[in-house]
Amino acid sequence: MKRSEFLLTFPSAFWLFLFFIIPVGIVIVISFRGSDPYGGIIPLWTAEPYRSINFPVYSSVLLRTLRLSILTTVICLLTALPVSYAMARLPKKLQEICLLLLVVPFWTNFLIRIYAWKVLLHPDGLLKMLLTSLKLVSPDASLLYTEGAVLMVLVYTYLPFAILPLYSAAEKFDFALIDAAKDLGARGWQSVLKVFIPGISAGIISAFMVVFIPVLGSYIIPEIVGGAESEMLGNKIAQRVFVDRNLPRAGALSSLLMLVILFPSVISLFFRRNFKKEITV
Amino acid sequence: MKTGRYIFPRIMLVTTLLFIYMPLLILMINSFNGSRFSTVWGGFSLKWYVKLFHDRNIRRALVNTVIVAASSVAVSTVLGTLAGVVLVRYKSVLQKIHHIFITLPLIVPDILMGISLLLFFIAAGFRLSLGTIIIGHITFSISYVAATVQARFQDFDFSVVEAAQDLGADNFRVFYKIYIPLLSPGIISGAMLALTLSLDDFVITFFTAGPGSSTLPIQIYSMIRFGTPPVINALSTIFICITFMIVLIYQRSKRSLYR
Amino acid sequence: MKDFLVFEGISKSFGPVQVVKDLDLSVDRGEIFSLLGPSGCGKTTLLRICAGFENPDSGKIILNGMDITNLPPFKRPVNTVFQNYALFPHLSVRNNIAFGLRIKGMAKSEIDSEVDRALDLIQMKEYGNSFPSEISGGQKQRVAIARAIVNKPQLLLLDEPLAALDLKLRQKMLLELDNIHDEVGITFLFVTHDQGESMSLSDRIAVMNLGKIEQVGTPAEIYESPVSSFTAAFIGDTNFFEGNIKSQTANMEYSIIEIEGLPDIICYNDQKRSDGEHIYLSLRPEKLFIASEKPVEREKQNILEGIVENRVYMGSYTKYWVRCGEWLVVAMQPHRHFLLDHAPPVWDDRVWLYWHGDDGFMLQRYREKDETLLTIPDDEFSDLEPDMQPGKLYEEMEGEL
Repeated sequence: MKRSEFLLTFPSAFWLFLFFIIPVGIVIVISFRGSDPYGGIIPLWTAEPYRSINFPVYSSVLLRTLRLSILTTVICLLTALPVSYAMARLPKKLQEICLLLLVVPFWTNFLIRIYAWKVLLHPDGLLKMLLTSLKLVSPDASLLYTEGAVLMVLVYTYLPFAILPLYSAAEKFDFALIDAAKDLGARGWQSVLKVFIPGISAGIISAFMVVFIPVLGSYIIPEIVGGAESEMLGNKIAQRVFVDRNLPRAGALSSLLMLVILFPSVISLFFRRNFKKEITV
Repeated sequence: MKTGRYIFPRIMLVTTLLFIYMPLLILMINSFNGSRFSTVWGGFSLKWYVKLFHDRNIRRALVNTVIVAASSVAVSTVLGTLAGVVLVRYKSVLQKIHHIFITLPLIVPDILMGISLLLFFIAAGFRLSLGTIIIGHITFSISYVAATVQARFQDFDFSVVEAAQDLGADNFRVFYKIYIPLLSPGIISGAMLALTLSLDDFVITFFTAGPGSSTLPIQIYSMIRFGTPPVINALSTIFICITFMIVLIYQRSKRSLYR
Repeated sequence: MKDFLVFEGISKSFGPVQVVKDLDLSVDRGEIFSLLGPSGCGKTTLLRICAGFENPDSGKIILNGMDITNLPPFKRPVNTVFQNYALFPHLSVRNNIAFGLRIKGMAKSEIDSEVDRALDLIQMKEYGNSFPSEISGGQKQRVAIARAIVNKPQLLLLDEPLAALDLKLRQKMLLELDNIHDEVGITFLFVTHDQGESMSLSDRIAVMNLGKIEQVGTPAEIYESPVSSFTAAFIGDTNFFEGNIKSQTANMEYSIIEIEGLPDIICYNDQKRSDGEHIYLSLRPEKLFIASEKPVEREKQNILEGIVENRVYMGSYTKYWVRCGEWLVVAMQPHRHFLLDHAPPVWDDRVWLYWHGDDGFMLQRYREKDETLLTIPDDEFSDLEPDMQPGKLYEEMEGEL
């Protein structure tokens, strides 16, 4: 009995231990090593890679990373809430179609979607032309390679990830509760605020998790549609690896990113536990 | 009017759908544009498609992508299914640890997984190649397959297992007469998910790829950075169409499963 | 044959909760035997032990002279009809029924004819190729029965097989189950919390509560002569009185009982209780007559005077709650005549209740908690349906473990 459990667990557990847990450990170990100018790692212990993070470049990058992540998450959640509400109230058949319509574009390649935005935001692109003709932006302003462009594409990329958990929570929500709230005198928005949102709180937490954490580590979006002034932590990690091949510094930055990610994970874990307690009582 | 109350959410829904489709539509239209520039209509043309089919780098990348996807899907489906089943069947300390192993890759951003694998491969003396890419893809796919199979268990009626035992089926027969057919939709969608993730992945592949082992996403990346945009339009259009076709077929087949 | 299926000293705990407590039971061959009790009384656990899905902590199960306690479910000559039917969703009705026969390795032609016969028996010939998701609840239930009985088990276990059906369908299926039993002649062990179901179908009933058997007997024995307050209150409705035996009649057949606040009551004493003993008296509401004028006194007849506190019209009868001193007594008055021609007693009317001394009975066991099973109105407007079941807590714990 115990033996069969072990045999069945071993393949996946061992694989993940070898190729996930150990590598993460190696990142932390290497982040305390010295580096030579030729991309090598010097076998001595030092905190130099961490001291290098103290450069002002990094603090502004870290701030920007946090700012963009929070903004993206907030915009995604605020958009996803009414969308999932509307979807959950549609007839079953339409719900399925809507879900499919939302999800299918995101099965096309990730880079293609980003590229599509690059085309759209391009100085000769459609959006620029439209906005200049409406006199909303000056002809020499750039849409591409700005922080705004990065935010736009981040929202575009992660919006469905926010909608899916919210929708699946809203779909299970008993909308008679909203009628009950209205019957008890709540206005439309009050019933949404006091009944609907608490009712789908588990969905909100998972939506937060699946948007906020990946955005913190995003790298390719600022790489393609952002400029030097809109780099995020992920870009810096990649630069240390691919541009000057300083692996210890890349390791130190990665450890920093892990630390940043730990916070929301712990918070959401806490919320989820509280939530669980609430529904079991 | 009853619908009046839900007008704001509905507007948001429609706007969101437009927002999602607009860039893709422009891309697809442009792939037939004879002009290099997206704002100028140079007449209907298939010349970018012709160019695409003569690009040898793309063809090689396509072969690499298929090799990576096929092998990583095969391995991760087996490992992930096993993981999903044991996580539901046993409740022990071992499974708690196992569960943490399975969940962590789901929340860690790609770039962290990419760099940790890269540093691991360097430290362990692996030569970066298609093999290292495949290892990376298997590593992130296992968790998704396991999660999908586990989800399938959620509405799994265990009394059916008892019914089979009651009718004389031993453990082995229960496994292939009950578990496998009933879990197969979960296993298939887990494999489908692993496939799309593998086809889609850029970041982890980028970190673990060696020279000459570029996959399609990496090829697209270098085309975006240095290459000829209209060819990417053509490639994207083909990609989008294939995706829609796969989804359509999958949806059809799912519907006919239990009738 | 007696002692076809025997449970000997069966105990079973889930964590800290002992669900079945040192239980002995014997079932005869060919009978329909039902385990009746509130949810959580351990009846389902007992059934699952019998099927082999749970191992008892102690005790033995003997089927047809063979000890099957340690046999895995797939080796027992026993089949089960599950509460939710547990039909295989990926197999057609035909293949569901053929499942057990295929496992046995029966020849294909033989399987076909057996399945055809089973489909015929449950009158579902034309549904052989349908899938479980395409048929109704009642049909699923019949398929579940057919799937079990084609294997010709020595014993068929039925776990609340009718619980998921609506009332009308349940009554129809009850008759069908009876017919199927007559046709196949297998022993049925039937688990239910519905007294009507077990009463109408069973040859014998075991009433279970809190992991123990309260009483075993034919439906009439259980109803007419319950040994405990639980049986009396769980099956049908009743009135409980508490008192002491004051004296006996000359031939010792009847006892005179002294009850606080009431005149002395005469009651048949079949248990040879002696004077001075503290006893509990149970009195079924339908055994009571209600009259607006004082009835003539007769030998062995009890008369109580009271005020109507509440009454509920139930169609075929009216239920009265009458205040007699400190006691609230339930009485049922069947409507044998056209009701509107009469002036039946209403609230606050003075009435007389009377019954024959043979119709009350002294209980062997009494637990105060069982009174919660009765229909006692809190006040004039309280809802009168009892839905409280003492075993509820255990059911929840069982589900969690």
